Amino acid sequence: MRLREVASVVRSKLAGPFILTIDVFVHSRETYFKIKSKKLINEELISRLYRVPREKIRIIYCDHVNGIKIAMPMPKPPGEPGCRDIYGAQQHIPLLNVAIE
Amino acid sequence: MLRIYAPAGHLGHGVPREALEAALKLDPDLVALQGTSTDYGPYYLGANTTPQPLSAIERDLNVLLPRLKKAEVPFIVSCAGPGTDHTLNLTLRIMKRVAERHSLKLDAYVLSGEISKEYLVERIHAGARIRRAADTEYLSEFLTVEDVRNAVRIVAQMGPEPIMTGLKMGVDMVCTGRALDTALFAAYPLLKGYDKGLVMHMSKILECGAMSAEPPTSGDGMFAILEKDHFLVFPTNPKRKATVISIAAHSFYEREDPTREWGPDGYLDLSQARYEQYDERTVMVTGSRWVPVNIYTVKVEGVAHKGYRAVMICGARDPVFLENLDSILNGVKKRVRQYFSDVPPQDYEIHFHVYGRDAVLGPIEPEPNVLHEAGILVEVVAMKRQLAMDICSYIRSTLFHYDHPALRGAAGNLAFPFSPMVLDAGEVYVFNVYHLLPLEDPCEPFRSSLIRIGG
Repeated sequence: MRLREVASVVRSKLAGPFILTIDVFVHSRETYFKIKSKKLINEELISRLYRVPREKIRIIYCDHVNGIKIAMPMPKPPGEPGCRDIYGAQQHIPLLNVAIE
Repeated sequence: MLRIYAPAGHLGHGVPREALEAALKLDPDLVALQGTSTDYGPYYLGANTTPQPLSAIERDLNVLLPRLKKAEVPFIVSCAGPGTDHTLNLTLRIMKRVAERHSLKLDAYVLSGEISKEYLVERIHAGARIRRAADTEYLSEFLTVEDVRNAVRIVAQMGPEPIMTGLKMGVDMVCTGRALDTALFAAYPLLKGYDKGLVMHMSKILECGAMSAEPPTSGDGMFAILEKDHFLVFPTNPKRKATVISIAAHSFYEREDPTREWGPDGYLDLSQARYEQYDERTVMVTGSRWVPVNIYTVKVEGVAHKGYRAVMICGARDPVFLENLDSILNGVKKRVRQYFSDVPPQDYEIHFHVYGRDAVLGPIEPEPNVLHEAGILVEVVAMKRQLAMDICSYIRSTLFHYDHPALRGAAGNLAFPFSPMVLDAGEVYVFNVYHLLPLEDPCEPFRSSLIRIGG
C-alpha cells in the first residue's frame, strides 16, 4: 500500500512565510499506529524526499486524530525570485507514494 | 455564557446573509472577523495594497454593518490585507460609504497596526533583543537597524490588550490594522474573565470561519458558545457541520505544531484537549490549557524591496526542442551573460519554470519527465524595471529563434498565447522583518483614536 491509499488527507501549506508544513490524516486507527510504531514516516525519509537536513525537520504524531504533522524550512520563501509555490500548497506530492508496509 | 460569531474566515471572502441571520437569531454578544494576513506573500505589504478587491470588502461590510448595528452587536475587524495604515484607512472609507448608504452612526475605536521605524531603531539602540520568529537564513537572528532601514514598511500583530481598551469604551466597532487573528475573538471573553486556555482555543477555531467545518470553507460562518469550563462550536449554515475530527484536525491547519500555539505571553497547550460530538452539528471542547510565560512579544513584519520582475509565458511542443530543453535553456542564459556583459551578474536573476516537468516541485520532483508539451514561464528579477524588461525581451527573441543543431528550423520554437509577450510583473518584495518584539506595555506601539463613522 502507498500513503495515498491509507490516508484521508495529505496536504501541505506554509505556517508563516518560512516554514513548510505537511499534514497527514490516516483513515484507520490500526494503520495509524502501525505507521507510528514502525516510524514509517521519519526524519530520514523526509530528509531524502525533500533534500532538507535531518536536524531541520520536525515530526509530531497526534493520536487523537490519527494525524501526523511534518514541519521543515521553506526552500524559497514567498516573494523570493524563483519561488515555486507561495502557499506551499502543492508540496505534499513526494509523500503520496511512500510505501506503507 | 458568551456567544461569539465569526461571519467568515476573512474579510472579502464573502459573508452569506442567511448564515448571518441564523447567527443573529442566537443573540451573539460579539461578531469578529479577520481581514489581515501574511498568507498571500510579501507583495501587498510592500505595495501597500490589499489582495482582496475593495469591492469585495465593501460587499461584506455592506451585509454586516447595518445588520450588526440594528441588532446592537459589537463588531471587531482587522483591516485589511497587510494591515497597514493605508489599507486600514481604505477600509474606513468604505465603512463611511456603507454607513451613509444605510444612514448609520457608528462609533469606532481605531487601532493602527503600523510600527514606526524610528520607534524600532530606538528600541534596538536601547538594547532590545528582537529575535527572529522562524529559524531561517533569510532573516537576521536579531533584528538590526539596517533591517529596519531596508524595510519599506513594518506592521505588528497586536494582541488582545489594545482591543480590550477599545471594548471598555462601549463602541460599536473596533477596527484594527494588522492584528493577531485570535486576538480579535479573545479580547472580549478575556475582558469578561473567561479561562484563557478555552478562550484562545475557541478563538483559534473561529478565526478561520467555517474552515473547521465539514465541508470546509472560509466564505461561511462559525458560532461558539463559551462557558466557564467548556465551549461549543458549530457552523450556522445547516449544510455544514462540526465534527470531532474536523474541529480537532483544525489545530493542524497552517500551524507548525498542532499541540502548541504560541501567543504574545504564552502558549495554548492542546495536548490534553478533548472533543465530543455534542449534537449532530456541534462539538464540545474541554481541556485546552494556557501556559503563560513571563515575557510579552508581538510579531513584527516588514518587507524589503528586492527589484522588479518581468515575465513571459509560452508553450513548447516540438519534440526535438523538448528533448534538448536543458541545453537550450542553459545556452540562452549564457547568451544573456554575454549580451549584457556590461551589467554585473548579481544585478539580475533568471528562472525558467518548466510546467509539465518540474515547475511545482523543482529538485524534489519524483517524476521529472517532459510529456508531449511544456509550458515555460520565464522569470527575470533585476535591480531596475527597464533592465528586467530588457533581459526578458532578449530571452524571448533568443529562445524563440534558438539555433540548436538538432532543431529542424528556427523560425519559431515557441507558441505565445498573447501579445504583448513580455509582461511587467511589478515590484519584488521579500520579508526581511519577521521578528518578535518584546513589549513592557502590550499597547505601547499601537496608536489609537475614537472616531464617528457616518452621521
